[in-house]
Amino acid sequence: MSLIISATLSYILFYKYIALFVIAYLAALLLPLPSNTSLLAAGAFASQGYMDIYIVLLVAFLANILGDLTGFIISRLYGKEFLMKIGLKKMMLSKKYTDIEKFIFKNSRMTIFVTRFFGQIGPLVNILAGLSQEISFKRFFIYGSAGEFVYAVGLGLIGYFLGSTWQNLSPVITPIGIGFTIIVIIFVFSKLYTRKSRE
Amino acid sequence: MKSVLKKIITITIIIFVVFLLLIVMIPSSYVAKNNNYSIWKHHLNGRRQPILIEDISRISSWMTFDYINNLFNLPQTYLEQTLNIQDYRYPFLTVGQYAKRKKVPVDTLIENIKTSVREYLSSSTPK
Repeated sequence: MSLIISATLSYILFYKYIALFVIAYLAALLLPLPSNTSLLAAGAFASQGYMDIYIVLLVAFLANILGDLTGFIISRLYGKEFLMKIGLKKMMLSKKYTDIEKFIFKNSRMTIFVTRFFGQIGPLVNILAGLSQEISFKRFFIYGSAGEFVYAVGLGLIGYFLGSTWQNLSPVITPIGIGFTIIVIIFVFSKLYTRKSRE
Repeated sequence: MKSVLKKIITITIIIFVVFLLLIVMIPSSYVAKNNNYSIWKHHLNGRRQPILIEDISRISSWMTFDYINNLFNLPQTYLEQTLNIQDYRYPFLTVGQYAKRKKVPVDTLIENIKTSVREYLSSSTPK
């Protein structure tokens, strides 16, 4: 088990729901924290009587959606200005960036909902959705909440029902997340490539 | 040519997704089978997971003594007395932290904890 995961699990054992909230919230803000493993473990700890499963699910859901909204709002308010200032104006005006923005807007409901399950790509979508002035806060909130609810409840309950054996699944979770992230990226770029070749 | 490329990409993605699903299904079914569904029954009845002897092998350095006590339903002072733990933070410190402070190999400490837990479980009936 990696050092980061071990340290994260220790913090959850020390500080329980506060630690779970902080880890999930910061992970939703693009920090590289093992939120999937944390939620799985917290569900398992609940099955062992160390935590309460209902509070675990509620905290995980709230932390994830608040993290998503924070990323979205900061990106919406300050994103473009910040990126221009650090010299990424050319990238933002490039056709590739515009194509990605159009793709996300065209498929925004599904994109926002599905990427809640992929810890690596969800925060990036939050930022892109915030930068895109065409995706309303209401749409982001509705589909983001729905996705985070399914994710938090699903993964938390998987941990709960696995109990002590959650550690058998833990080494698989991160590679699967990375694998699905790669699939999504390939899918997006293949769509963009197809559209470009049609034009 | 471009439609062929598109088909290749689509087929590659489908194969990859199926492969990943198999990776999830195989260990999950192994885990479920080994549990014999008794743990699921406990959860459905709203009870905490029963104490499992095989959980002893899962004791790790990231676990706190408080958690280990809870996991095996040990009296709070059992490990403190058995292992002669003299740390004011007990039981709210991890096995790794205690091993580092006492300058003992963490694997040795973990084995001692496992032995103590086995002795307790074999000498008393878990609640």
